[in-house]
Amino acid sequence: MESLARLGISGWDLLLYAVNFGLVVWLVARYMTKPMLKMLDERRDTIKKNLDEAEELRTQMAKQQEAMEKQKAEMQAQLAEELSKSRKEIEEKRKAAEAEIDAKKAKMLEEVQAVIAEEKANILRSAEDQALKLMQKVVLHIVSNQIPEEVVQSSVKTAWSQYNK
Amino acid sequence: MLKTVGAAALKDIIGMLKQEKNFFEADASTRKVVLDKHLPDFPEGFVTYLSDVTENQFMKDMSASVRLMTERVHVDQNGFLKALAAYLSIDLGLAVDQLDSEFFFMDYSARLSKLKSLFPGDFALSLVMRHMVAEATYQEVSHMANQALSTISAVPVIVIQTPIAIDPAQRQAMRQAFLEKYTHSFPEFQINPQIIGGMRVFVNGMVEDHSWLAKVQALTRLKI
Repeated sequence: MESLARLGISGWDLLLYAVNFGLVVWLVARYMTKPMLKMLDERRDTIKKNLDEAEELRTQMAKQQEAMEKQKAEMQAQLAEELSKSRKEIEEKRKAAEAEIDAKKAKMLEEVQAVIAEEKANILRSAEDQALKLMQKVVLHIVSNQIPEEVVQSSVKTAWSQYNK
Repeated sequence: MLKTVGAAALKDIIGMLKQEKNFFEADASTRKVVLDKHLPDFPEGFVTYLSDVTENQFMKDMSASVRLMTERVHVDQNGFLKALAAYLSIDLGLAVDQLDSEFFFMDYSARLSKLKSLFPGDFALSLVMRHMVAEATYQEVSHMANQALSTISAVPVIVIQTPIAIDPAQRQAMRQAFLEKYTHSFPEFQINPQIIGGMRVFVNGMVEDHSWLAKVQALTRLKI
């Protein structure tokens, strides 16, 4: 108590302080604590509700995402399948086109070779014909200008006897 | 030619019959004597026909020959036409064979006097033949004869090509040979120097080529 007196605090001050403190505590407890607690409860409820909603949204989102993932996977699979089909078709068409080109090439080559062979034969035939015609002209010229009349008359008689056989 | 020559022959025969009214009652040898008297040098074919034919048959033949103006009559059905066809194919043919290329360059009167020896007699038939041959070329005579003969008989068209003119004896021999093969035919002789030697014979367009030209062509057709 002497220490408190040295500090300037008396018993009455202590009592007053205690009563004052108690009053403040009673006032705060009565008029602030409840609303504060109510407010805290409300706030906690709100926060919980929000959290729940968020959780629900998160769950929904997760489901949606799962569904989307699934759909995406399906579409990818479908796309891959179609791509593979298209690749096969393109490959087949390419092969068919290549085969057609090869066949056309072969046919053209054959035709060209046939034309060349025909031209060769024609040239040869033409050369032969010309040589024969020239030979014929030369022989006829010699024969028609150099034969005596008696020989010709004799030839007529010979031809007549051949005809009459 | 057929109607002209036929009419001329008929005129001669009827002229003779007018003077010899009992002609058909006589036998063959008597008839020949009568024919020799009235128609000396008359073609043998007609003489043979008239020697053997009866009066009835003669009238039928005449009537058929007149029908020739409007319809076809075959030589086998008619003795007169047969004699006419023989005259054209044999007598005319052999006479024409004796004409050389010079004949066709003579003037008309010269030709007529030359033809007197080939168509003797002064009856209508020989006069008609002399004038007909004198007025035509060799090809025209040949063409007329073939046309006339084809009217009454199925004769082929025969052409003989030689490189030079052949002598009349050879021509007559050839004509005779064809007559034996194709009765009443009238072969035409052509000169074609291009055949060089030998001869070509065309019968109804089919050719048998024995010419030197054909031989040369065959030789030069061989492959080199």
